[in-house]
Amino acid sequence: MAKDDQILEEFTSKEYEHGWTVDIESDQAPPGLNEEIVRFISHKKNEPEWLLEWRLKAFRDWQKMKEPNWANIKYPPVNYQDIIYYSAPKKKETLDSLDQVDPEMLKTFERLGISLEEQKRLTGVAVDAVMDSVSVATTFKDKLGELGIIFCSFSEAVHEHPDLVKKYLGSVVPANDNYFAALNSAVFSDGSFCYVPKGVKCPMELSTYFRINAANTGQFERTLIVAEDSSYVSYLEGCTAPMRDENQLHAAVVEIYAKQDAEVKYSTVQNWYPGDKNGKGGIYNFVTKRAICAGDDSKVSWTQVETGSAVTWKYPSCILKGDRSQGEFYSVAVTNNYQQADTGTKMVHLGKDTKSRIVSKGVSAGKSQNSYRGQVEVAARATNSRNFSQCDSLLMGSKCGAHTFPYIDIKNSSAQVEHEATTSKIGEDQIFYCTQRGIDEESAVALIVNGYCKEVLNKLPMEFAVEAQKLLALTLEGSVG
Amino acid sequence: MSELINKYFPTASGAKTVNDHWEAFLNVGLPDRKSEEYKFTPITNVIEREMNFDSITSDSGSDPGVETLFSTPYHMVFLNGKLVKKFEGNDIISVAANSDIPASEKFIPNWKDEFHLMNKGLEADGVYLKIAKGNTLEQPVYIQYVVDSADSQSAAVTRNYFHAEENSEFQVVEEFIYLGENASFENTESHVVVGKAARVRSYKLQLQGKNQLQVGNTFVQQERDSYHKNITITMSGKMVRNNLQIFLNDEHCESHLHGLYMLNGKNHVDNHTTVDHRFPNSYSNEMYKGILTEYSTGVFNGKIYVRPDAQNTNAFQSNNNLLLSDTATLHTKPQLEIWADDVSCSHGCTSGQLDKEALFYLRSRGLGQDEAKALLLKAFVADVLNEIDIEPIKEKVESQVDSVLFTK
Repeated sequence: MAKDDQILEEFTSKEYEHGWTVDIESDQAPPGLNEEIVRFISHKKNEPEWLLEWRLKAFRDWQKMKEPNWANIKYPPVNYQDIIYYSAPKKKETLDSLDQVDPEMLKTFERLGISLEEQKRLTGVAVDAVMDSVSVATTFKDKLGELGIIFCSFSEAVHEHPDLVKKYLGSVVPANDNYFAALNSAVFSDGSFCYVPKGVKCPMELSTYFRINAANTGQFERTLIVAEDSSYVSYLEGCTAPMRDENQLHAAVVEIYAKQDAEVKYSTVQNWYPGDKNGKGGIYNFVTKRAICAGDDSKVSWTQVETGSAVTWKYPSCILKGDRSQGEFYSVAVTNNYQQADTGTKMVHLGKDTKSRIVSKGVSAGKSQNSYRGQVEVAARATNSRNFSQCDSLLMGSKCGAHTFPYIDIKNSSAQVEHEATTSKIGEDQIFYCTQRGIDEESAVALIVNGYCKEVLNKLPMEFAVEAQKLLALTLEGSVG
Repeated sequence: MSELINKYFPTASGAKTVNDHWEAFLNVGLPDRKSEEYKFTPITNVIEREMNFDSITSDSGSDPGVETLFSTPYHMVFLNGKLVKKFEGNDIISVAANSDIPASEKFIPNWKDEFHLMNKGLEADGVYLKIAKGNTLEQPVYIQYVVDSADSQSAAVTRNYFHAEENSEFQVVEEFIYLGENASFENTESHVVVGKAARVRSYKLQLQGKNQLQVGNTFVQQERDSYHKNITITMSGKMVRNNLQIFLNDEHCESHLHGLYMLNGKNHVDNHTTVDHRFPNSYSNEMYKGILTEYSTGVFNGKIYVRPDAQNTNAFQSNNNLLLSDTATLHTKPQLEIWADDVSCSHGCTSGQLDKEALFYLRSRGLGQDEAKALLLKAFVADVLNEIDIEPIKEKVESQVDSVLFTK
């Protein structure tokens, strides 16, 4: 065991690679939250009256709500009056090319390995880079424009496509849906908006990189994706954040609206700063993600690889309203040190012949706590609906925890619902098998865990799979169960 | 506060409170719908709606002489919470009042269930049975809890303790019987201590009744090398909640939990189980099966805790359900909480209907639709019924299952 301990020690002492800050002048609001701040944000972003009203209503609802405490996570109370709710990199003239982007910022992205130019030239991914809440560059816009696809920052969408935004904003996640969604609705700074018109298959993966930068800035992203009849879009979201001592709050909202025959794929790789090895610092990630399969035969698929954040509270869910609609959820959640994750999904079957599939793989190491919390609900009129859920947990080290909270609520006799879960550590026989064939123990663990997560990683688009595997390898380095 | 007492029970119906504990209960009150544990079983609302505790009188009755499933010298009967028939102890089994438990043997868990707190706060009738070290009680202890609400509503509170000393063995059968049509409320509690290398099998039978509201807490404490098997069969009840808590307090314990709920009408049954692995090298196996028809509601919540030290734990859990009507509802939550890494735990739960191919197979061999269905359902429940080791109980449950299945 001595060697194991040593390796574990090495692994647990591994510092966060992307931990550094860049000085970019910020245009900040004073810390605190009140109606004035909401008005300030709205004014700053030149928003129309209806949106300000919408924000204010959300803010008033939020004031009446209580912070939820049912999740299996513990964190010191957040002082919502201590947070800076608006921070934007200094306004530049409208950008036509990447040359006009703040070179400091370009450098930031380069160090993260997501150089805009590289992305643009080599991979064909349109990147809407978000840094400290304001979109600074949008690429490939023209190309998408030809197809009628709208892919822009949220604030841009508010000005250029107010009808669409007004129609769909809050249609999936109402402003007063829950505490964090209400907070987001009141103070959201920016985000992405994507609209795919009828019959259009988006030819490239749409991707947004988020990055939290200035100190003490809450990041409140809002993403809205609307897929019209028979359209297809694959959306990528990924994030890294610099080292920080105070906990930072991130309360994002993602809404997906899929109409008849539409298919939306939403992939996330999340690698925010998880805090140091003593559990100090790190991001609080309280996210509300929900999709509605409003039309018949529509399909929404969530894939997530969660390796970062000190505390994660996230349940990407699907409301299967249309007949024969499908929802999928694939997740890998890795926690280490003092990280806590309470994540899972919610599948609400309302339409007939609806199908859902849940595959969740949890890996906990160090002193972390990893929980799966899921709900499968079959309404009385959702005849012949089908669900399959599988949630597996892998434990590394004797001080971590793995928890499973699956809720299954069935009101229909023709529904077929299955749930299975297992918890175990990496088999010694598996490691022995590998070492016997000349693979060292460390690589063997990586191999086994990669195989364990394969089912989920395979669902990631090519561009992301590489990054995800890198992340896993990094997290798993030296961790022998 | 006094309002609460009158509202939630018993002084009117003759029950006395145990001051400190009753205060503790009043501070908590009964669970509302927001309570995570009683989310799907709004029993407080139903009690408030259905029960009128003022109307309950507390006259003592005598043994109602209800039908017994089998005969045993160790037969006891409770009527409306009062012990009306008991047996004399002998060398193997000693009988005492539940208030006579020596302090050193008080295994009262610190458990937060509201109804447990209520039970604790009330003076309840009951016994303390102890099986002496190294002995085997050949015939089962058989306790019938009769609640008679033929003339008026009734309420009952009971609390019993069973202690199997080192290396002893016995079986206990608890049968709940409800007479009459009026609503009744019962809060029962059983504490089972399974000593070192002791073997205990407990049965909880809820086979008849119509308008009863029942909450039962069963606590099982297992010591080293012990074996416990619990079987809960529920086939009736307006609203029944069974809490079963198993604490594995030492190494090498073996624990089995089996349950069957078969509901029709508007019956509502909720099984909440907890298995707490506190030490290494223990084994637990849980299997609950449910058949829901008509407007019935089934709730299952199975928690398995594996504490940080409990390495080499093997814990299995499954919950399978058949929904036979679109108006039946199922809520199930198989929950694992694991803090140790060298464990093997799994749970599975399913909800569905009968396999169409199996039905076709039987029908192609000449069985009618209903007959074929009944046969498959019988096979479905057999896994649980086969765990019943007392033949007359098995026969009784089987015949009741048949009467539900084959009379359509």
